[in-house]
Amino acid sequence: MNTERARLVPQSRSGAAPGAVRRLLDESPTGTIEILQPPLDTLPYRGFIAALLDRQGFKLDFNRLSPHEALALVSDKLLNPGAFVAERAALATDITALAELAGKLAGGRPAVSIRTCFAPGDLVWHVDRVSDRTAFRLLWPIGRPAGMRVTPAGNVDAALHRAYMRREHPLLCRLDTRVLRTGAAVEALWAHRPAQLAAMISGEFPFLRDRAQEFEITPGALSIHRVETPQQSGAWHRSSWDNRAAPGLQIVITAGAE
Amino acid sequence: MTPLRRLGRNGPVVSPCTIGTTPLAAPGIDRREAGAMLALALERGINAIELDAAHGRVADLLGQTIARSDMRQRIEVLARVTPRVRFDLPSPHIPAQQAYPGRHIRAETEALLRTLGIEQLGVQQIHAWCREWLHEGDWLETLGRLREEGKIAGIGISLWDHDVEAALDAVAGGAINSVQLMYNLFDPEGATVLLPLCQQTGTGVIARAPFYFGTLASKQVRSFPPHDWRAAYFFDAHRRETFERVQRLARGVDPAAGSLATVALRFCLSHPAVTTVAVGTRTRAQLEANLDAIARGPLTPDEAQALTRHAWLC
Repeated sequence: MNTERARLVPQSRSGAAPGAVRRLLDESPTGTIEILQPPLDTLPYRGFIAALLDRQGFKLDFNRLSPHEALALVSDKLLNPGAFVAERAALATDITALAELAGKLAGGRPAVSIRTCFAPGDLVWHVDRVSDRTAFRLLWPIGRPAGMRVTPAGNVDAALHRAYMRREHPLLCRLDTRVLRTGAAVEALWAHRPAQLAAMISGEFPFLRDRAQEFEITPGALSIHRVETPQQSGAWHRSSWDNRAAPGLQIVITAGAE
Repeated sequence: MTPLRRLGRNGPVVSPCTIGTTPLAAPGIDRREAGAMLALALERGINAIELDAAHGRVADLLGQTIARSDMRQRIEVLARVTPRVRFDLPSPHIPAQQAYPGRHIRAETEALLRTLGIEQLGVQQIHAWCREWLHEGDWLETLGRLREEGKIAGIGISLWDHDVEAALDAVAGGAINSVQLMYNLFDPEGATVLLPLCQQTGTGVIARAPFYFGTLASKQVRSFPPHDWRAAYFFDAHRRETFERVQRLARGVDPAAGSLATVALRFCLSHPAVTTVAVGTRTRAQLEANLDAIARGPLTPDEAQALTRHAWLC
């Protein structure tokens, strides 16, 4: 592994204590760490995952449902009732463990969601934001070709990014909603905005200072990044156009503490 | 001057042209000319002035202008409350109570009335509106009480640029009198769902940025002075793209319909849901040009429809 990349995106081992993971996160120049995961075809719930990947375009916030209840709901609704009972229980157990880790990192309650939809807004560099005091987001995308890309905060011209997003942010949110609701192609929905579409495809944004300073999370790995709050800065990240046709099953866990 | 219109159910009666005062808050503004422009506007039948409550010096200038006119009883100030949190983006994760606590809304409204020397604001608006705020905090209760007390005539929300869908729940629910949104040739998205919904619900509409921050008022590529916020907003790529699109648009405008600026303003008033257009105005010359454009009336439906192919900020 490239030394510079290893410094900017430190790796933690699976099963590491929350305190150790938190220390690594606090020291990470990008506010992001990664934890390698076994390949999809070795996971005990690969059949269930593959079946969910065939149902591209859904999103579910667990809210008050436990991972076991939420996955049962998804499975019964999207697949056959009672299908993959053992596999979905195994996945729910793993999600429960990850949610516990995220909760301990932030010292607060985790919120879990899963999705198989493509959100084009994620292609533009951004930080996630919440109003808590401390917050982290854990992302485990399974079965997609490219990893999330991260960059140090100093590589983003903040004033230029602010100007860019003042205009683009609401338009990107609306684009996400339209893609989720209709499944329409981004290229068709933004045919009247070729310059902005080209930026999302190429990754060439006017506010990014040095493209050599963007780094990809290992595809299939789990990552944890800092979320912007009034007390802490967030990690700059974006998704990759390569995931457009195969966004994978994304397990997203956000934990924050007031 | 075109007849006055009512800004939503039971709202104030306003002129089709509202003077947007944000440009008057810029450093280096010619206050004498700005005062003369405001006085001329009132004289020419404009009774609606849009004002950001944070712009104290503009409020002072407006108060002086009102005091010198006989418009004290007829002026309708369309105010925007200053949020307690600085917004760089729409921020649904910020609770409404944190951004707009009722106590702050009341204090700022009452202070503004004193500065302006009037008894009632035409509308008090919550800016950078997020749909999550509809059932949060005490902003609505506070504005409702201020309306009952006669200190404001209407309750409004003001949308972040291009964020028209944020208003749908509030407009459908009927809790507000008016909604303010960016609406222009480059971003006519409001016409898709929001403006028809406003018509159905009797919600007034304040269309702002008819010239997309001045760019639709000039066919020339222009740069902005460093202290002007637009210098940062129109970063190189944005400025280049905007002016390429302006020039393309200008080539397609029928001279019989007026200059590009005239057409841009007439376009905004062409949608029947639009009650008034807030036009940022610095000088008397700009005011006269805007009034001339408005006097020409709306575009025909065919003319307006033909221009929608230039939309790109939606």
